[in-house]
Amino acid sequence: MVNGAVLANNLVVLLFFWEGILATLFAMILLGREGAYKTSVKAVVLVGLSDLCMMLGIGLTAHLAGTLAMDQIHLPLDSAGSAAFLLMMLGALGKAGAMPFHSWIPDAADDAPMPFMALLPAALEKLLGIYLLTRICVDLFIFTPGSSMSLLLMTIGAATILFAVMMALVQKDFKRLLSYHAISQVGYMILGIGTALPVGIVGGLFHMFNHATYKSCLFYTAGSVERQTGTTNLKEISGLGRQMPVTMVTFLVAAASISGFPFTNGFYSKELIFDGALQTNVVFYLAALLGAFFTAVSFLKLGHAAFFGKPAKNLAHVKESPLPMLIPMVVLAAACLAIGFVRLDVIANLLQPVLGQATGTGEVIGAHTNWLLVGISVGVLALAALDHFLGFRKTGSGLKAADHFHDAPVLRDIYRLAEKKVFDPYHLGGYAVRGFAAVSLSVNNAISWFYDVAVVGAVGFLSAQLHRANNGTKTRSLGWALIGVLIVAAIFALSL
Amino acid sequence: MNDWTLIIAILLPVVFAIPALAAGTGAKRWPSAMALTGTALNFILCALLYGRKAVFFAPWGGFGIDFSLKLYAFNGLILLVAAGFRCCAPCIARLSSKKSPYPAGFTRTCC
Repeated sequence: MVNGAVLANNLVVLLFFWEGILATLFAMILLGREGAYKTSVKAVVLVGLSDLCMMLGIGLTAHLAGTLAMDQIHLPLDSAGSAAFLLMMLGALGKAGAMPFHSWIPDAADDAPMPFMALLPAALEKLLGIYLLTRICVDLFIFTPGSSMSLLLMTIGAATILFAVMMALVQKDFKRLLSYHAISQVGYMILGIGTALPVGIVGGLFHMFNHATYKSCLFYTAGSVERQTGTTNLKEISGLGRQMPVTMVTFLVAAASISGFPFTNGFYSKELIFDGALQTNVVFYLAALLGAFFTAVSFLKLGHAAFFGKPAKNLAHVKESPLPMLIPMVVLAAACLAIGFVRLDVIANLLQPVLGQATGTGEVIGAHTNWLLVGISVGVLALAALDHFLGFRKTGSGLKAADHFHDAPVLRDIYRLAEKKVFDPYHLGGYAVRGFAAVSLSVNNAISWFYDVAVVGAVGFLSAQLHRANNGTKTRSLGWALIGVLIVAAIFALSL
Repeated sequence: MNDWTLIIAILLPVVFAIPALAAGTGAKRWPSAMALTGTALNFILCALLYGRKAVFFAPWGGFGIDFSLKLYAFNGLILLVAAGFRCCAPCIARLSSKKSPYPAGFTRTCC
């Protein structure tokens, strides 16, 4: 299915394989814990909704372009083109797990098997969603910097970064925290591609590959912890670093990468995105920077809570995971570092050629370091470390070191709303569906009452009256017959 | 000219997935072995396809709905990376499912 979706050159063929992936997603979540069907239904509803948008977008695009062949479509973003772009974009964002189609991912982290999380939401879904988004922006439509669609895409990206990272910050479960970061990192990719600048697009694509590397590694470390301890609840695990040193080291490398620590792959792709965002609008740059700060804070919390501090007494027997499980983690962690060192080769040989003309000049993107931006990014990481240190000193717990954000005056109310699932479109959709169902039921009851009670009653009443008027005696029958003759004669007389 | 390798790239995971998924719950090792072999072969095929340009075209439903596939630099790269990640998953799934609270069926679906 994945191969078919990636190779498709016809919009209907793409849709066929795209929906096949949705069916696979449903099946894979269903294999999880008892009760996982609720999450699988949620995933199908949310991703299916975005796919519905994509279907409409495909129809409109085909109508405007006069063809379904993807390599022949290159539409301008006029009013109808913008509508087609918007619908296709929603389809891609749904697959990538961006807002507002994101809320199944944290639930899947609770219910679905860990390898599923490492494979689908962390790697494959992002790859496919961002792949389609790039094709929409680079191939199918004439997408220019500063256009309304560019700004819309960047706004969605920035909102996804901030909302998801703020939710990740207060999570107390290893897998749930990672799942919110999987959403947040999609925001960076969308922000980068949304700039429509070569530096942003290449940054977004580079971040997509890097994200697949470090996020898979992080989910595998969570899987390793779950396998050895039987839980991912951060309140129940602590000080695992001594017992699981390889898991801890791979976690630290991947966490440094996702936080944008210098010399890791995540650092370089984020810098490209920052550069693109700053060239477009400083607000988007600040949003991305704020996201980087919260990402670092939450991973300091997670690493501290799980691998440092006093080991939990009930986990004294825990040992390192078996070698075959460690190999993929070590390979992915090594890739996080290695890609950082060979970034220019990766960009020049793998990413820039695939975009062809879209990258503009033949110069390698990212070859010139913007030291000011690097300095600011490093400063943000230092601030995150300081914040964690102060939070730890205040609470005495690594897990609670970021709780002051949860209790901050304005954020407290936002978190309260988020905990009530006010920002979950599936939950809100549930209210809407229930409301619609109640109205439909009332209408149905009214129609039933009309036919079952009102009509039957009226007919019964009329029948009784007629029965009283003509009780079957000869005199009554003759009387009514005479009245009828008189009425007919009167009508006849009046019509003359 | 049609390049049938693209069709093989689509069918190869399916060929390995069907017996792996069809296996009963009693089958322990071979569905996982099928999943691992399928994903590994898929990765090798995607690695061979990387850097190539190929097309496959067959008229299908009419009204412009044709079975059209195209391989070029960008999707070749995506194909390769996706195949790489799918290759890792069966190993991890097989190991983690031994002690995890989930059923072992996930390994089979990795194709």
